[in-house]
Amino acid sequence: MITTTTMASATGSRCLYRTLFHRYGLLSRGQVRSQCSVPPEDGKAPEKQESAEAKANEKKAAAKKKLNDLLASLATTDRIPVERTNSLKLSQPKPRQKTKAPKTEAEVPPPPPEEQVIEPELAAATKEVAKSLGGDVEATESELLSTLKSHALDTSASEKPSANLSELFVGLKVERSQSKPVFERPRRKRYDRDDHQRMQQGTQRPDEYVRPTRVTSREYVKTDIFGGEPLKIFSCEESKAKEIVESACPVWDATHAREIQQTVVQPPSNAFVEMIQWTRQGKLWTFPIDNEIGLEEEKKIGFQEHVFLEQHLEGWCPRRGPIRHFMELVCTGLSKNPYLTVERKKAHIMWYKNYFEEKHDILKEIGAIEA
Amino acid sequence: MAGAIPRCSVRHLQRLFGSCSISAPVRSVRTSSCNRAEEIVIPNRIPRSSTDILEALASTVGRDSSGPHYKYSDDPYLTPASNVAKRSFSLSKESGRKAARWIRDKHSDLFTHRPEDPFIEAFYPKISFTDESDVSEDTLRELMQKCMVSDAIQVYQICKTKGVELSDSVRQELLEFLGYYNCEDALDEDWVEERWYRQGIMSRDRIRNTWKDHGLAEELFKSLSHQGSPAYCALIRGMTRYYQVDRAWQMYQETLEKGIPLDTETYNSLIRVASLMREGSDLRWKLVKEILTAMSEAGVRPNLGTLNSTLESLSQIASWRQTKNLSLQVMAEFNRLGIQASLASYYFLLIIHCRERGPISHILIDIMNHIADKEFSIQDPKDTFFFVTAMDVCRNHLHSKELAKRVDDLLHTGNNYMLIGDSYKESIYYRHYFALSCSTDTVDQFMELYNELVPHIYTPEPGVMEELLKALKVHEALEYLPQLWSDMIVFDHTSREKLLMSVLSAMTCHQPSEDNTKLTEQLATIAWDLWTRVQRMEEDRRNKITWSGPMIGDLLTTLVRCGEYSKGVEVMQKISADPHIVLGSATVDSLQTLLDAAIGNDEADTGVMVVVYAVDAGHQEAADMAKKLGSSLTLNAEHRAKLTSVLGIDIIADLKEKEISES
Repeated sequence: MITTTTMASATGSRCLYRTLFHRYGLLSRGQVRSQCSVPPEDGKAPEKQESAEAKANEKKAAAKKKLNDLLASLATTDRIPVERTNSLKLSQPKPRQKTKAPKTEAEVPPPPPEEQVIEPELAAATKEVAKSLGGDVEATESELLSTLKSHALDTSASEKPSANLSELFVGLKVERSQSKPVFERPRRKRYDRDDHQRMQQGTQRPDEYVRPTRVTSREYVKTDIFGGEPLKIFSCEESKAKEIVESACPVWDATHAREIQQTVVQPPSNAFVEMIQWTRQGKLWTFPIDNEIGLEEEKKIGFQEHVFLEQHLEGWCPRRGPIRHFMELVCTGLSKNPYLTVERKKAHIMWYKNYFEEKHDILKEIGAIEA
Repeated sequence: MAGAIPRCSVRHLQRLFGSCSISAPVRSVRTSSCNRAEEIVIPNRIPRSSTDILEALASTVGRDSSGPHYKYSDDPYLTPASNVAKRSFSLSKESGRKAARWIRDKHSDLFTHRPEDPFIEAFYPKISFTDESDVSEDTLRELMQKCMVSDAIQVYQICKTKGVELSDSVRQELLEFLGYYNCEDALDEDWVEERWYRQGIMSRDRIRNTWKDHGLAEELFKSLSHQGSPAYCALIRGMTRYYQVDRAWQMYQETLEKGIPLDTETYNSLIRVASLMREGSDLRWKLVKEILTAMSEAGVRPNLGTLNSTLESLSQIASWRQTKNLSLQVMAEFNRLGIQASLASYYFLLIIHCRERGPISHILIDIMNHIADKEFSIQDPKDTFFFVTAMDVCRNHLHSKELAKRVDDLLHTGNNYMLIGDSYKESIYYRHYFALSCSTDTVDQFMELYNELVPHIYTPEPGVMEELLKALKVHEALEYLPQLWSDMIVFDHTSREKLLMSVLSAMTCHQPSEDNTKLTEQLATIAWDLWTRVQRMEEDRRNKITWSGPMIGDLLTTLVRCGEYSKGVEVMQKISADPHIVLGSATVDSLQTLLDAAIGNDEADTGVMVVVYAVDAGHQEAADMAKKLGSSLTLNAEHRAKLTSVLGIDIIADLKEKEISES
C-alpha cells in the first residue's frame, strides 16, 4: 500500500513537471528539479544537487516567478468538487480553506498519524517544494499535503486512476506576486530628473518600506528663506552700473515668451473668455463696437471727398441745362451712398462724362448742349 | 461662490472706469446741492484695448462647481463624470475642429469665397509653398511670427534652390527660431485641449539628448558670414535646451577662447545643465559657481532665469548635505540683487528642503508667509510645478491641513489658477488635497469638500475612492455610502475589485435599528446591485472580478442583516451550485448569520444548504452549525439524509442519544 502510494505520488509529481515542461515550455527539467529539489531517481543526489543549487541561485528569482505564475493560472481553473466517501475523517479541518492570513504551526495541525496516507519521504519532498516556492512556506506545504492527501485517497479508491492537473492544484493558493506589506509608501510625484531616476531605481529597493525615523520633531522651525549668507559672486553696484544688452537673441526670447504663455492657457471657462480668445484671433468684432473696424484704407479719405462730388463736374459739364441738372442729381445720389468708395464714385461720374462725349452730336442736335 | 463678485473683478471694473470711480459722482451730486461752487470734473477718455470690456465681464463669472465645465456640451446627457469621459469628450471636440481644419487646408481651392471686409485670416486655409512659390525674407519672417516651423524650413530651402539672397539678420533670426524648436513643429496654439492633456506625459521623459546634430540650425550657423555673439548664444541655447550638453560645453569653450561675450539667458541655459556635465555633488556645484563667476566677471547681469537655473541644478544634487544651506545662500544673493523669486524658485526650494527621507522641513510655511495673497503670472516654465508640489509636501511631508488650505487659497487668488499647469497636475493636486482632508478632517468636513469639488472639478481616482471608503468604515459614517456608490457607478469604478471589497466590508459595519431603516434599505439595494453587476460581467472580460471568500461573506452578511433574506438565499443557492465562482469560500461568520436567519424564518432547506456548503468549504464549525440546525428546527428525512451523507454521522440521532443519556 505504502509503496504504491509513493510510486503514484512520485509519478504524479513527475508527470506534473513534464506537463509544465511540455505544455508551457517554460522550465527545463533540470531547472524544475533544481528548483523543487526533488531527489533524482538515480543515486547521484549529493553532488548533482549542489551544482544544481548553484545554478538555481542564479535563476532562482526568474524561475520562481514563472512557476508562481504558472501555478496561479492553474489554480484559477474550475474546481472539481471531490466526492468525499471516507466520511469519518471529514470532521478534521481542511487547512486549505483558511484565509490568507499567515498561519502558525499551532493553527495548522500536522496530518494525524493514524491517517498516514502520505509516505514520510514524500512529505519531505513536499516540504522542499514548498520551501523553494517561497512565501509562506508552512502554509504552502500544508496545502500541498492536503491536496496530495485527497489525491492519494482517490487513487487508493482506484476510481479515478489519475486526476487531472487542475484538480490537483485548484485548492492550492499561490502567491500571485511577491508579498508586500500593507504599508503605503508616501509616493512623491515630482517631475524633475532626480525623480525620474528615483522611480527607475525604485525596483531595487527592499520590499519592506520602513518609515524613516524623522530626525526633527514636527514642531515648526522657522527658516528664513532670504536669511542665508549671500554667495557674494555678483556685486550690486556693478550690475546696476553696467547696462549690457540683456539678450542677444530677440527672436528666441519672443518665441520663448509665447510658448511659456501657452503653457498656462486653459480651455475657456465661460463665454466671455471664449470671446476674448476669438477677438485675439481676429474672428470677432472688437469691443466697443465700431462700424469702421478694419476699414483702414477708407480712413485715409476724408468725409468731404465722399459728399462734395460736384468738383468732378468742373471742366466738362455744361453750366446749365438738362445735363447739368441730371449730373447734379447723380452727385447727390452718390454723396448719400455709404457703400461705395470715393474711387467708385469718381468712376461713376467719369462714365457719364464719356457717355455724353460719345453722344455729343445728338445732344447738340436736340439742343441739350449749348453750341 | 458665484453670487459675490470676486475681488479681482472689482479691480477690473475700476480699471475700466478709471478715475470715474463709482462713488465719485454720488458725492459730487450731494455736494452740489449744498455748495454750487464745486464743479463736476469730467475725466479724460481712457483708451481701452479691444478685450478690456470682455475681461471685466469675464471676471464677474466665477467657476461654478455645481455644473460641468463650459467646454462640454450644454446637455445633461453629455455631461462627463469619469476622468476617461472628461478626457475623451474634450479631446473629441477638439479633434472635430482638427478634422475641419484638415479638410480646409487639404482642399484650399474650394475656399475662395471671401465676402467679408475686413478679411479674417483665421478662417482661411493656410498658404502652402511649392518650389515655384514666390518667397522672400519677409515670407520667412512672417512664418516665424506664426510659429510655423516646417513651412519656414521649406521656404528656406526654396530660397536656397532659387538663389534668393538672404541677409545675415534673417539667417540669425531663423537660427534662433529653429534652435528653439529643434527644427520640429510645435503644437498649434489652437489645440488647447491637447496641450492640457499632453503636458503631463511630455514632462516625464525629457532628459534625453534630442538635439539634431548637424541639422539645419547648425548649417545656418555655419552659413553666417560672421559668427558673432548672437549666433553662438542661439546655438548654445538650442543645444542645452535639447540636452546636447557636451557640444554646448565645447561651444562655450570656443567662445571663451575667441573672447566672444555671451548674454544672460545663455549663461542660464548652461547653468541649468551644469549638473549633467559633472559627476559628484561638489564638482557639480563647483561648475555652477564657475559659470556664475564667469558671468560676474563678464559683467553680465543675472536675472530671474539665473536664480531658477541655479536652484534647478542644486535641486539635482538635493541629497548632498550642503545643498539646503547653499540654496538659502543663493536665495539671499539674488534677493540682495533685487531679483524677485518666482513660483519656480519656491518649487525648487521645496524639492531641496522637503526630501522624502530627510528631516522634516517647515520651509513651506515660510514660503507661504512670504507669498500669501500675492498674484502671480507665469515667468518660468517650471512655475506650474509649484502648486502640485506644495500640496504634495502638505500631504506627505507635513501632514498639515491648515497649510493645505492656505495653498489652496493662494491657488484661488486672482488669476493664479492658471498656474495649476495641466490636467495631470491638476488631478494630482486634488488627489493630494483630498487624501489629506480624508485623513485629517472629520467625515462631515471632508464630505463638504467632496460635494464641492466632485464630480465637475475633480473626479476621484480609484485609489482615492478606496481611501475614502476606508475612512467611511473607520468613522462608521455609512450614511454617505449610498452617495458614494452612485458616484462610483457614474465614475465607472464598479469594475474594480479593491473598491468593491471596500464597499462590502464597510457595509458589514452597519447595525440596523429603528432610526436608520432608510439607510438599511439603501444598503441592501447597494449590496444586491453590486452582486448583479458582478454577475452580469461577461466571462471573457479582461479584468473580470472574481468573488473572494471574504467578499461573498460580507455580501451575505449585509443582505441578511439589512432584511433581504430571500436575496441572501438566492446568492447562497448560486454559490453552492457553482462553487467555482468564488475563490475560496464564504466566511464562517456570514454562514452563521445566514443560518440564524434561516432558523428564524423556519426554512430547513436553506439551513441544510448552508451546513452542506460549510462542510464542503471545510469549516470546522460545520458540525456545530448542523447541531444548532438540528436542535432548532424539525428536519425531515431527506434533510437528515443529506446532513448524514456530508457529515458522516447522524447528528440528529446523536443529539437524541445525548438528550437521552443526559436525561
